[in-house]
Amino acid sequence: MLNEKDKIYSNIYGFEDVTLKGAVSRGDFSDIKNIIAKGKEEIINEVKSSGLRGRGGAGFSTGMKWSFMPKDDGKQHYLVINADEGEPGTCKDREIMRHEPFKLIEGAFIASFAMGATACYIYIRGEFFREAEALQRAVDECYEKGYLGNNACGTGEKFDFYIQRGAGAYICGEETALIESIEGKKGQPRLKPPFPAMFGLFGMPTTVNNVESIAGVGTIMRRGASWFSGIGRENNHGTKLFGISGHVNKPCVVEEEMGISLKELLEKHCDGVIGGWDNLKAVIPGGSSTPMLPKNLCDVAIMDFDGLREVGSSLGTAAVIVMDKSANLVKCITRLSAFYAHESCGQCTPCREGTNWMKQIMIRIANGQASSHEIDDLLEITKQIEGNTICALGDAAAWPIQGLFKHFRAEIESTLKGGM
Amino acid sequence: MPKLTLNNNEVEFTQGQTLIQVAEDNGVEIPRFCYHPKLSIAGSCRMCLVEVERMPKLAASCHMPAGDGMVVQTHSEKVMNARKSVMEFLLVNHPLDCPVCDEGGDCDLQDMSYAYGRPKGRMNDEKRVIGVKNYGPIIQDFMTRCIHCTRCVRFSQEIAGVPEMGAIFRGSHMEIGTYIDSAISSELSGNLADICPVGALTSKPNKYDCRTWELKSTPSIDVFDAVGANITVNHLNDKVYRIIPRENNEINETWIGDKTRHAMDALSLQRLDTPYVRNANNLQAVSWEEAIKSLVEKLNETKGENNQVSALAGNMVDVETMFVAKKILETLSSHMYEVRTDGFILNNKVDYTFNTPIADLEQTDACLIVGTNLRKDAPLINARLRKTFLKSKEELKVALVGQAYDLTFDHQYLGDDVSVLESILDGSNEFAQILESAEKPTIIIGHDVLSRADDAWEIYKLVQAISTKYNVVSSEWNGFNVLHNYASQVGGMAIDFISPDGIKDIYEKSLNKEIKVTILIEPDNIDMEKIKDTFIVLIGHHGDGEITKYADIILPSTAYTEKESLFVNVEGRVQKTSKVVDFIKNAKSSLDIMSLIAKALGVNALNIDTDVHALLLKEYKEFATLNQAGIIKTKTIKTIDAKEFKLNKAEKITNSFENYYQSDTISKLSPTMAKCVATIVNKGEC
Repeated sequence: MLNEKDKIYSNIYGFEDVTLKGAVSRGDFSDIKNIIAKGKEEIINEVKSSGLRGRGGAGFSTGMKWSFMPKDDGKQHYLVINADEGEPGTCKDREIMRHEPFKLIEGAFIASFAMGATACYIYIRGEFFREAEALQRAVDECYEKGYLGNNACGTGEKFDFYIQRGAGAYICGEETALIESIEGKKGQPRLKPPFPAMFGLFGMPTTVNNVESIAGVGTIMRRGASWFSGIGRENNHGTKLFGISGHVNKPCVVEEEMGISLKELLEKHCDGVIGGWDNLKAVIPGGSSTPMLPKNLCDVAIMDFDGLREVGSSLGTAAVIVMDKSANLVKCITRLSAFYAHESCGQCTPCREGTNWMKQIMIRIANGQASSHEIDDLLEITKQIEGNTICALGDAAAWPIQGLFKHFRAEIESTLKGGM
Repeated sequence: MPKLTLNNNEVEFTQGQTLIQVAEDNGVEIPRFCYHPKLSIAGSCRMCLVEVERMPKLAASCHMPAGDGMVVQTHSEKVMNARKSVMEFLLVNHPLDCPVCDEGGDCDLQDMSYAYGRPKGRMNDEKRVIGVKNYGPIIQDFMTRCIHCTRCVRFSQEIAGVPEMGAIFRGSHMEIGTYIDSAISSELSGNLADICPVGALTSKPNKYDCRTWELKSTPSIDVFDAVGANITVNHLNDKVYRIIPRENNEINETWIGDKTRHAMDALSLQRLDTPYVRNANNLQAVSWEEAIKSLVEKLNETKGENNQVSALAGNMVDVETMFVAKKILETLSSHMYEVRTDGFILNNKVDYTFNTPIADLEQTDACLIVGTNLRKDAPLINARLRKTFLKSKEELKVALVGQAYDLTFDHQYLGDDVSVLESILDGSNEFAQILESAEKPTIIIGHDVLSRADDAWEIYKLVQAISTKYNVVSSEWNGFNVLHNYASQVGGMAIDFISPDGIKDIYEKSLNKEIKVTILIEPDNIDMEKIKDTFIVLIGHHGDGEITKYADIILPSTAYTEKESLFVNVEGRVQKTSKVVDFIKNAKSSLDIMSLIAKALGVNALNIDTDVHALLLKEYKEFATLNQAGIIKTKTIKTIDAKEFKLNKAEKITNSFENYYQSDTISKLSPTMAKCVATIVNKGEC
C-alpha cells in the first residue's frame, strides 16, 4: 500500500489549484536549477538507477533509452512526448494533462536537457480536446513566468514546448507513426532501423516517451533514485497510475505501488468487483491488447511488468478492464477486434488483411454461426500476424483473441454450431 | 569486402546493400511485391521476410541492411511459413478473377501464389470491393485487385513527379487512388501498368485484347523521340500488340513514355498498302515495277542539270535509307537532300549532339535548360534529371530559359527573353555564379530554339560562349548538350544528309521550279505549299491527306517495327531496330525501295543485292560500334569566339512542340494519343 507522501501526483484528481501557483506550492519546479546543474550524464544515470521503466506499455528502461541519443553530434535533438493515449481502457495520461500539467512540463525540461534537446513536441490524441486546452494554458503560463523559453526556469537553458494535436488515429500512438504525423504525413509506422534515436522527428535524433514516464522525472530527481527504487519489487520499481474500468463498483484512476496484487487494487480503490470477488470472470490487466486473465489467475496476479508476465499477460499501460459473470467475453473481444481492424493503418499486409479477417470470424463466433474448427483457424491466423508486421499493432490485435481462447475455449465451443 | 552467410554459403557484399540485393547478386530469389529496385523502399508487403540469426523477428530483406557476419536464411521453415501466411492474407480480399484479368500470365501474385501460397483458401467472409475509377486513357484500374504495395504511389511521387496517387482511408478499407477521379497527367503514366505487380493497374488500350503467353517478344528501339529508349515489342500473328520497356540503365532505365508505348496502335491504321501513280489527276494502284519505272523515267529527265531533285527525310527515317538516298541524288548531281526539314539550323561541323551520356546526368550539379520543354521533348531525360535532383537531396540547381512549365522538380525560371542568356554570359544573372561554382555543369539547348527562323545561330553561339566561359566542357566532363526531337536527325546529320543551305533554300528552289522532283521519305514537318508544284514522290507507311493530295507517286514503306535498321539517338548512340512483324505484305522497307530505285537508275556500286550496311561502314566507320554513347559526334569542333550577338530581342524563346502526344505521322493517327489529347492536353493539364 502506497503512503500518501510517496505519491508523485498529489493533485491527480484536480481537487486543488491546477494553475502554476498551485503546482509550485506543491513542490513542482522547486530545486530545478540544482537538478539542471547536475549535468546531463548525472541526470541520465539517476534515472537509470531509479529503475524507471517506460510507462507506455513496453516497459523499457527510460534512462537507458535516453542514453541511446547521440552525444555532441551538433544536430538538433528532440524529445517527443506521446500523449496519444488511445489504448482502450487507458485514461491515466489525460489526468496528468488535466491536473498535473506542470509535472509534465518540468519532466520534459529535465529529460530534454539530459538528451541535449532544446525542444519538445507533445502529440495529444485528437479526442483529448479539453486536455490539450489545459496543457496549453499551462504552457502559456510557463512561458509567461519564464519557466519555458530562452532562459527556461532561470537556468540559462533554452527550452521550447510545442503541442501538436492528433486527428483520432490509434496508430499514431506508435512512436514512428507519431513522428510521421507530427511531420504532417499520413500516420504510418516507419521501418526500423533506423531508430528514432538516430533518425527521428524531421530526420533528427529523437526520443519518444510516454506522458507518465516524463511526468515522474521531476519528482525522481528531487527525491532521489533510491526513493523511487525503494518502492515496488526488484526490477519493477516506483509508483504507477492504474486506470480501472468495467465491472467494479467505483471505477477510478489511482496511483499505486508497483507490485500491488490485482485483488488488493480492486478491493481497496474500487470497492471491489460488482457482486463480489467470486462474481469475477476475467480481467484484462493492461489495456485492450494484453491477453485476459481468468479468475483463478486474477487471484494471484501481481500488478507489475514481471508479475503479469508470469501469468501470461502483460502490464501494458496498467489499464485494468474488469469483467464479471454478466459479460459475454466473446462479444467483448469481438468489440476489441473490431477496434483493431478499424485502427490498422493498412500499410503492411498481415495487419491490414488479418485484423479485418479476424474481426469477421469473431463476429460469426459471437453470433454462434461459426464451426468449432474455425477457432483453430482463427488461432492460426493470429499466429500468422504475430511478429510479421512492421509495428506492434498486429501483435496487439492478436493477443486478446489468443488470451480468450487460451482460457475460455471449451465454454465458447459449446455455443457454436456443430459444437460438442 | 564484408561477408555474410546466406543459406549456409559465405558471400561477399558491398556496404550499403540490403539483404534482398545481396541475395539477388548471388542467385537466390526472394519473393517480393512492394520492393522495386528503382523505387524507394516501403517494406510493407512482408513477402520478402527472411530469418536473420540473433534477431527476434523475421526481417524484411528489402529493407534490412546487410551487415558483416550476418547469418541469413532465406528459405527456412519459419520463413516459408511466414510467406505462406502473407500470401494467404494478400488473397483474403483479392477477387481471384484471374480468368478475366489482363495481368493473368504476367502476374506476380499468381506466380508467388503458386510458389509460396496455400493450396486452398480459408476465407469464407465477404471480400472488399472497390468501384472502378477513372485514371485516364492510358491506365485501366480494377482497384479491387489491389494488394496495396504502393509501388504506383511511389512511382508517381518519385519518378513521374506528379504526386497524384496516394493511399486514402485506413486498414482494410485502404484504397489507392487519385482521390479526385482524374486522369494521371504524367507522360510516363503507362509505366504504372508495368510496375503494378497485380491486375489493379493495367493498360487501358490493351484491355482484353490478348494474353501475354501468346505474345512473342522482340527487343527493339523506340523512334518516337531522339532518346532511343529500349523497348520490347510484343506481337502475335503479324500484329504488334504491346510495347513495353526493356531495361537499359544508360538510357531509359525501366521506363518509357506514353507515346512510345501506345502510339503504336496506329501501326495498323491508315497504312499505305500498294504503290500508286497519278494518272490524269487520279491515283491509280500499280505494280511495284510500274511505279519504279515511272519514277526512274521522271528522275532520268533531270539528268544533265544540277540540283533538280530533292530528297526530304522525316522524323523516323533510318540511317541506311538516307545513305542510299544520298547516293542516288549524288548520281543525279543533286545536293538537295535534307533531314532537318523542320528548319533546324545546326550542321555537323559544330557541336550538335547531347554530349553528356544520359546516365551521367546523375552527376551534374547545375543545369541550364534553354528553349525546351523536356517533359514533352524527352520525358526520359527529364525523369533522369528529376532523379538527379532527388539524389542530390534537392541540391541540384536547375534554371530554365524559355517557356515556363512544370519540370516536376524545383527550378529557377529565368524568363523567356533572349537577353537573359546575355546576362548569364556577362555574369550579371545570379545563375551565372551557380554555373561558375558548379563542378559538373550542364547546358541543354532545345531543338525548338535551334529551329527559329531568325536568330537561331546567334542564340547557339551565345550558348556556346556561355559554355566556354563557365567551363562546361573540360577534359573530364562535357556538359554541352543539344537536344534533338527526332530519331532520324542525328543519324542523318552524321552521314551528311544535309544540304548546303538548309530546308529554306530547298523550299525556295522548289517554288522557283528549279527543283523538279521531290522525294519525300516518310515525311513529317513538310510545308506542302512550298513544294506542291514539283513532281512529288511519297515513300511512306501512313497516308496523310495533305501529302497524298499532291503526291504523284506513292510507294508504301514499312514502319519501324517492320524493318531492321540503324538509328542514332541524341547521345550519338547507334542502335538497331528489329523486324518484328510483316504487317503490310506489299510494302517494302524504305531502304529496299531506295535500292530498287538505285538499281533502276544504275547508281554505281549500288543495287538491290549490295550490302548497304557494309558500304555504310566503309564510309562511316563509327557506325560499327553499337549501343555506346558518344560514338556519333562532330569531328571538327570550331570554337565559336564571338563577342557580339545579333539577337532579335523582340522574339521570345518559345516552345512550338506543345503537344507531346501527337508529334509525327504515326502518333497523329493513333486513337489512344487522340484520347490523351482530349482528356489531358485539352484539360490544360499537360
